[in-house]
Amino acid sequence: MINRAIGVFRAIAPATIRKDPMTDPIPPQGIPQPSPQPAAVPAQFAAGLDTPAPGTEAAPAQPATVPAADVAQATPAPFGAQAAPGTPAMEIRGLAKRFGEKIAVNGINLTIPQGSFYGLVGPNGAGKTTTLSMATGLLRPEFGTALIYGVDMWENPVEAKRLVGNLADGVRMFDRLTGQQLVTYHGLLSGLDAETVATRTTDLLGLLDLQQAANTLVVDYSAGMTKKIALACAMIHAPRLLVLDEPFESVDPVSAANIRDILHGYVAGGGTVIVSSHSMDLVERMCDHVAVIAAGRVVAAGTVDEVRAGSTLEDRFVQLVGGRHQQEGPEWLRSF
Amino acid sequence: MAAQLLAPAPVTAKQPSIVRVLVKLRYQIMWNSLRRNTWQLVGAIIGALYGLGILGMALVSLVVLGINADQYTGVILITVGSVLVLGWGIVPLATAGADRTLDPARFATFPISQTSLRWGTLLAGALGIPGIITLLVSALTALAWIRSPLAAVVAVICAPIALVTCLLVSQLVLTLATRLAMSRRYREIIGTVLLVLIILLGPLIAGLSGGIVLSISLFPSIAAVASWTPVGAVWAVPAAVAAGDPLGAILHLLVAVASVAVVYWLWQVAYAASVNASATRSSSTGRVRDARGPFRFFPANPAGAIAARCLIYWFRDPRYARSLILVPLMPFLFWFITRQTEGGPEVLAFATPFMLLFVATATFVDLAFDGTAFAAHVAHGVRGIDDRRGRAWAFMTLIVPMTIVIAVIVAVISGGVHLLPAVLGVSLGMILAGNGVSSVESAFFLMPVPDPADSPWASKPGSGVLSLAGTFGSMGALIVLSLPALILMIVGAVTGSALLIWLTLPVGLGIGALFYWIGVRWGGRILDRTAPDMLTRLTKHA
Repeated sequence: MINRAIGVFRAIAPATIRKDPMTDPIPPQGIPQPSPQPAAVPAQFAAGLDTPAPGTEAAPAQPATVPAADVAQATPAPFGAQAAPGTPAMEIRGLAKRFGEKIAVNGINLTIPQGSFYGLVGPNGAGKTTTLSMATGLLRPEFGTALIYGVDMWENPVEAKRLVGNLADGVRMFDRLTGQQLVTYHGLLSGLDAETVATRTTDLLGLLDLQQAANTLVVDYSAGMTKKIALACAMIHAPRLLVLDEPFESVDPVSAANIRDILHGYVAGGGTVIVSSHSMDLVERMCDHVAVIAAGRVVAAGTVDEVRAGSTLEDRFVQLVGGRHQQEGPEWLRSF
Repeated sequence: MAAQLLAPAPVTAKQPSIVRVLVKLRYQIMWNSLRRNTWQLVGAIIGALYGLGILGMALVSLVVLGINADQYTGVILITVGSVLVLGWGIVPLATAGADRTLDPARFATFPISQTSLRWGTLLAGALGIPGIITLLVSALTALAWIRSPLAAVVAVICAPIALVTCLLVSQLVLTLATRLAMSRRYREIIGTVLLVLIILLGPLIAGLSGGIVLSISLFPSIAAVASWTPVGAVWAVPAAVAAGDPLGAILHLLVAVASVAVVYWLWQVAYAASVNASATRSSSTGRVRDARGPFRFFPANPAGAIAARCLIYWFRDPRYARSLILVPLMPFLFWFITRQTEGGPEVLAFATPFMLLFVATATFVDLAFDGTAFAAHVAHGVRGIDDRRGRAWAFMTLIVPMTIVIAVIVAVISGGVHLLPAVLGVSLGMILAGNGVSSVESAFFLMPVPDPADSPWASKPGSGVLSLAGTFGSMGALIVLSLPALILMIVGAVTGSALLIWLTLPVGLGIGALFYWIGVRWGGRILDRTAPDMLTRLTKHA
């Protein structure tokens, strides 16, 4: 993945923004959306972060009841009380971010229903990682809001973050720890007690076939093992929503299948998964919902069947995103 | 750019020199990173101005030296020149480090010979600010020889040799240091050396205090010896010419040139070894015996987890160890500095606080060391105060016992045991206050630090001045906060009042604890607000 140079964060007063050419009105999306969008995007732009998001205040605040329940068995699935039916697991409204001159995310709206296995696809540099970073509290958005089970990520970060398990792409880990120590570390950081952490760490390492490497420093792991340990770190606190940025990158097929099983079990138990991926095949087979992002905008979103509209997801993706060109490459690359 | 790269390669055209490409690459990367980070740019500009200042001062001094030329001109130039060469070797180790853009490991996949890489590294060094200043100052020594025109000409001719010597010494030391730092054995060696130094500190101080006295009368003999060593030979050539000793000049020149050849050869060997080492680096660490390690010793909550993790890093990340190297050396250094002045145990009692001045705020680079791994704290919504506390606990677990041991040893040796309560009060108070200061400072100030995978002596362009600003900022704050206990200790030491000496202990501890309490909370609150923005800045640094 591109280690994108993140530009200077500039706190920009709304007044400045209105004059800014960047706020060019974004045409309403003519794409199947899973739920009606609450507001036109330009309004989000102009309003900034503080706008009360219409319609969500009704959502009951519940994260306090979130499970300290033990993960006894293979799937880290028990989720305590369900959120009020209908509250999306994640709702993104008008998220926007630019790095210097470059607009990375340009008013994204997405609704991820509870219990869905949601795929996020898009070409390189489309803004997937930026969007997910903003939605999980790692990157401050310039505009827009992200609600996790109705809890605003940037108004109430501690509560919202407790609900999310996050596998971020392109960040380091504390890789001078052993695998077991790293998972323990994440468990303790999320406030679990020692005993729970110990049990769950053992479970997760077993689940991900990492027992052998439990006492090896993570810095010595292969790329695939590093992804797996990061996944364990994301799941240790039994979050209700897993946000996984490129979880299958450089993971071998057997491990990938195992991880898919775990994730399916997790969804079956009531959890929600968001994965970003470049692999259309994988998303098509694994996910029930998908959103296509290009140039910082959602160009299509809905159930996988809705989005692919009778075609394969890959063909539909290329059709939506464009940029395919038929050529054989330069002459010098064919004659040595 | 991409279009250029994809254009058919001009295979038939004259190949650009790889060395030139490498040097250009280094400056391109430096320029790009300066453009991305305004503060680094400011740092680089201040650094350049500083260099100009040094150049100006050197110019004035050399002119004065030229006007008042006598038999000491050679002695002075040889001594100062030797210090300059040694400085090129030592300063990068002790401070900001060296540019690692042309790290051989990065070019492992390119068909570039090691020789080209070495020359690229040297040339890039020569074209940096310190390189240019060194060359100019070396050439300007001609001014000091202005009364003997031939010697002046020789001085100008010798300037490039001097520069190459400096560059090679610096590269050799850095290559060796990096190689050592990357290996596990290094950490063991450092640990052992530290232990031995602590044990030897007493006898060393006792022995040396009765021994040699460094005085101005020693300089001629120091210069005489240095003029036959790699560090001083090149400076002795014009001196010998001026003294009308052509044979001596030739011999000094031979030593200087041979030194360059030998150091180059040594560097080549070390360099080749480091290339091989970096290719196999990943398999060097291995498994760890104890499953949970320090996680057992700290409470099972976020702050405790962070403390355990930091403690592991203090041992496993060579960048942390760098700041502790000073600990056993400082009292000795302090003794050496105060050697010339009057005073007995009262003066030496300051050794431990003096050491802590440089060490007590060490945690303020912690967050920068984390790099983007800090995302784990942000993603889990760790409270700022837990973050601050964890880092402070880990550091205090290490530094408090070390400080007590050193304070006791110094007190026993210097015969200042009666001052011990005051020394401990001031020292422990400084540790507490230092952690308070760094808790606040590191919540908004990011030190430019080498990447975890990099050598602990790698530096980023323009980072030197920023590091200094950060260090002096924290030091200044620490001095101010420690002043009450310090004054009490001084008054107690001067008056010999046991009451005041004992009073310093609770006062120092109390004030330190208060500032720790405030600092951790204040810093925590800042971090609660700024954590995602710090992460963004860390991402940009990476």
